[in-house]
Amino acid sequence: MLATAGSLYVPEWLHGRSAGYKRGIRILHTNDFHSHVDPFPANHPLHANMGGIENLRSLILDNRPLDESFLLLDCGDIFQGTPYFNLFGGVPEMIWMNHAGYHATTLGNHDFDNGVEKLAELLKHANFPAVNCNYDFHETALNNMVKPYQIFKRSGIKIGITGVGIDLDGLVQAPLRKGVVYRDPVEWVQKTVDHLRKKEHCEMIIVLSHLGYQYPGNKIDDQKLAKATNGIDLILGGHTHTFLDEPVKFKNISGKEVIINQAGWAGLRLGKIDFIMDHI
Amino acid sequence: MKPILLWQRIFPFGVLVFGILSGHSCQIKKVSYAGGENLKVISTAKYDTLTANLIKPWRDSVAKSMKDTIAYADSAFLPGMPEGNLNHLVADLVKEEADRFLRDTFGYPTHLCLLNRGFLRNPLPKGYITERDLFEMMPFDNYLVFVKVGGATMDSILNEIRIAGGAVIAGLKMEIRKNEYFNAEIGGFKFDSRREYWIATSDYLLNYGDGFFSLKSAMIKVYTTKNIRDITREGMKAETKQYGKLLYHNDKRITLRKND
Ligand SMILES: [Zn+2]
Repeated sequence: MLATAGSLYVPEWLHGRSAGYKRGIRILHTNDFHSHVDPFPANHPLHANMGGIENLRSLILDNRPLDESFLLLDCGDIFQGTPYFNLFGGVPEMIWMNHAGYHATTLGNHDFDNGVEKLAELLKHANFPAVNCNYDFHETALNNMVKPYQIFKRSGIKIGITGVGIDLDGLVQAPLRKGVVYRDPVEWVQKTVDHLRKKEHCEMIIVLSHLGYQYPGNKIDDQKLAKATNGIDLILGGHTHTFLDEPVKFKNISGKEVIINQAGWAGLRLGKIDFIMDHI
Repeated sequence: MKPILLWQRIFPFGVLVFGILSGHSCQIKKVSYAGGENLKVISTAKYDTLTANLIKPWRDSVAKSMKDTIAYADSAFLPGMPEGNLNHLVADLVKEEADRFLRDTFGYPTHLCLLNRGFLRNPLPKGYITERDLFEMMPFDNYLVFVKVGGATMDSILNEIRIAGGAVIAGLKMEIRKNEYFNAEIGGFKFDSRREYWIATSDYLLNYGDGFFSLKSAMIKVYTTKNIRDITREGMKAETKQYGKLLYHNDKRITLRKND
């Protein structure tokens, strides 16, 4: 049962559920939930009967290892899209995410749709942190409410999680994002990753991104971020509502592997990614 | 051996196994990708009653206030780029009301209606369309605004439609290639850069862009308190009342041409 040290050890939970300590980490993730609490209606032309928080939670429970060696993450745009948000301003979504047991999220452009103050109010109810490293919130109600990063320990590994957001100019009405300063994603992600690796001694780095999967030209996206940086293991994305069959591999600036994934939108997909640990 | 104390606290049952392992290997740990997939969220046999109970008060309230039927469609309306029948439906309903309002208040006609594709978040289903369908199709509280633009600004806007790869548009016909638009017609007449045009759009698009930044340089801006969702609802109701269903607007407005 004991693997020889230094070799690859495939955790039992990759093949099924079992209790106890295992040397692996599973990431479950969503993005662009957009207040889709209920499944799509039976007459919906594209997603009939799909999604819905009961179904999403069943899937989370079925796929999460019992030994807590997992993280449930979200990449922003939690709000805006169904009457739940128009009527209740984001409260049911926060109740849902607490109930589902999310460990962290980042912020999307639509999370600002009712303004910075309302967002700060909602985040007070969250049992999980919101992370972002490239928005400067010092002049806003979100100061100290959104963390540049959060460190988790899973399976004996220190995992640093940061978040990165899209330029809100042209996306969010100016009064609603008053005081929020957008800073260069590549520069601030790299700065944060370096800090997490060198100062905090993290052994795994995950970036929660709301930049978008891919754009033509030089507009920053997850793929460009992966290629221009160092030290990231996994980029979980959002904003472009991209449906990928499975995570995609890219090479970072030093030629090392970076994984990118995005899970559609509206709670229609749950991303599931496994990492295993190796002692060098 | 300090790290083990920390793991001990987190993994009281697993610490022994790990203690042995870490004794054999050095402390640098490396993670490697071991596979992944994106699971479809569909209904399963195991209904999650706990979650259902938790959300029930909110769900009941949404169901109650969103149940009214507002229109009927004998097949679905889909949003699209460069255009879609949902784009056309919404743009036509908004332009019709905008034109009436602007004529009544200021005596000017509305030449075109321009909204962004991102404004439409979901298709309209086939069958009876409820208030809820309307909110999910158009969740944003955007308000009708009018701008009067000169020919040069109009030209920039036509280019912005080309760059966006389409829009939600009424009163305009154009063809686009990679680097240019051509054969533009506004209100049935060839686009004339010496003319001035009244455009009905949203406060969001006017002030915050989504790629349509030229609207800002309009010579006149008129704000209204008319919510575009309310305009759309009334238009859909009226059309269903008159014709028994929503009408399809299948005319070609934006045509993509291959680069020659
Ligand atoms: Zn989104």
